[in-house]
Amino acid sequence: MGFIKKLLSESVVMKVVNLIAIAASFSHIASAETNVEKAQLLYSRIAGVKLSYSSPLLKQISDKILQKNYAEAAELALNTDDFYNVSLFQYFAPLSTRSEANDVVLNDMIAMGIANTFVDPSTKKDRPYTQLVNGNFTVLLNGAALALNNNTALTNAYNNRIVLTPSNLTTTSPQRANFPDAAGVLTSRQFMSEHAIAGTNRRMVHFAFREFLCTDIKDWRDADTTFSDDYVTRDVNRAPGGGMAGINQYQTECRACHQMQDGLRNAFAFHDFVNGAPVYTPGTVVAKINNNVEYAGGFVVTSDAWENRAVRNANVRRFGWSGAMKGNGAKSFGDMISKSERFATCAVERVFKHVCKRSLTSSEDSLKEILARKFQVDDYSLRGLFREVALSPSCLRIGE
Amino acid sequence: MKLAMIRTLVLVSVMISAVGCKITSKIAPTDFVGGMGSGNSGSGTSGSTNGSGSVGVIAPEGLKLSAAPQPFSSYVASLIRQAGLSNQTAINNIYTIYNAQKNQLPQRGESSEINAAAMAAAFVVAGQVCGALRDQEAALADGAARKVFRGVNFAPAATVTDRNALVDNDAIRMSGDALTRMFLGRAATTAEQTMFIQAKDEALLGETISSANNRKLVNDIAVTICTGVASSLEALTM
Repeated sequence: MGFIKKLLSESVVMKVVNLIAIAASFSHIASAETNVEKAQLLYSRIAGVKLSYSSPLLKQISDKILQKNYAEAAELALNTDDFYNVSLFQYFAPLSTRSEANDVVLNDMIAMGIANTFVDPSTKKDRPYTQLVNGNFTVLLNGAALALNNNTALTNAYNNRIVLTPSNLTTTSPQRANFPDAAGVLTSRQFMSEHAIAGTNRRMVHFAFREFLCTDIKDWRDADTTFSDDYVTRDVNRAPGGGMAGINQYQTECRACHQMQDGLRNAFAFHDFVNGAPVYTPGTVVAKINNNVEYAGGFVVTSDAWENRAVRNANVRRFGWSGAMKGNGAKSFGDMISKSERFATCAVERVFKHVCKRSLTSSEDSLKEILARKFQVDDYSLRGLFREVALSPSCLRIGE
Repeated sequence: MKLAMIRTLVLVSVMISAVGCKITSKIAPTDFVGGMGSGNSGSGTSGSTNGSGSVGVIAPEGLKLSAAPQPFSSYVASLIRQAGLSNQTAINNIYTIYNAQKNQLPQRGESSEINAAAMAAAFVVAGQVCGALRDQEAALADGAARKVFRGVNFAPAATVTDRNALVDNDAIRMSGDALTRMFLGRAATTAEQTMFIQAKDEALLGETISSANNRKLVNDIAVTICTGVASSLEALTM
């Protein structure tokens, strides 16, 4: 602290100038040429932290690179606390809030993402990433269940910089007592607190698609006016603003999104977020969904039966659906998401951006498909995907 | 004071311009060719994985590595790790400073997030790390136990008032080189070594070295040189 105060005093301004001049001299971007540099690059991009150059781990990774055992080199980086506590935290943090901000405290969605990526101690295998949208699990911190109505335990762990490990962050099932409709992080306290609070639960669909299918509602709307709008509920005005202009607006804009979203939103008909806690009322549609009546002839939600209508035209190729397009509740909704091709390619896009620090370009579609196929073959191992992406030829060029 | 401030601004401006040139000249992806290869990279389990690569495609010619700044939480974790700090109180103090600055640091690790505010925040965080590093090193006897400031006497006798006797140039060069290895992973260039000496000389410019300030000056020089390296764009980049 003393140093910082000192910097602010007039008498040291010259020294600050001096210091900045030194900083300026180091403004070139180093390229990875030696094996140690490649090891540092590989480690920092996978684990999110740069190591000391005297680090024994860096030497081990460097030796693996020298032996051309690139996968083992990557594995060394993946088996570190840094990977889980820095890199994966950064990966899951923006998925966990409506603002998609990076600077958030630890919450149960991030914790579930990290814990689900730990190697399963009983099977010694990775857990599938698909569990994040359909798994019936949550996490324990130091063996204790998290409170449903607050984030205090995880906030404290974050503020105290507790290192999360398979020992202190464990998974447990079921997600909640007497709760048959768990859908991974979609029914986590954090996701519900962001997207099921107030509103009409449409945001649950909107953000499930954004975070796990990398697709915003603007992209998957179906503006075909000959297409039925039978799922659009009563709270959507059929002529916003009135007159023909309003009718046209509904026909060309409103229904294009609502027909898609409202049919799926029913999956969360029994879910709510009240008094700081997620609530599930089996058999009872939460009141907020049917409350507002702008158009009495609209659809009335009476159950959690959902239907996916985003199955036509461009959406066929966009999502690559397989499995049931109808179901009941959040769990089957999560199943549907996890079985789409887009679920895998979305993970590839996110991990590629995270590790390679750039987005895949349209000219790299076949690389994306190869990585997605490998991800599926590897039973949706997120650790495996990090490794595959890091070692892909368009990313870090470690093997050159 | 005014002259010094103007000089600061000009230097910052030059630095940021240089940063912009370097970091925006990044990747220009081109098509790759090939298909699914036979690389054996394991099955996604924790078991041993072998093979020279994973996805068997041929890298496109001319594709360059995409450089990027470290996201905020990576930067502070990297500095602490690289400096080898172990004093928990010192680390807590670093995080106190970091928490006040982190909103200015790159959030997503994108090159567009490098700006004057980010560099200034990096400078403040690095300063705190370097203060802790200096404290850690000063507590050790001069010699092999120290990672960085070998040959630097942090507690000169009251009679030491000569600038070369206070911190000799060889010690500065060695310290600068050690800091460059620590935070940048390479040896300092000859030009950079010269700069460390110049930095020391400038830090002492106009100062009357006496028994009252000689310890403070040595400590300030150590932190100043360290902060220059640890807050550089090269240190910030991953």
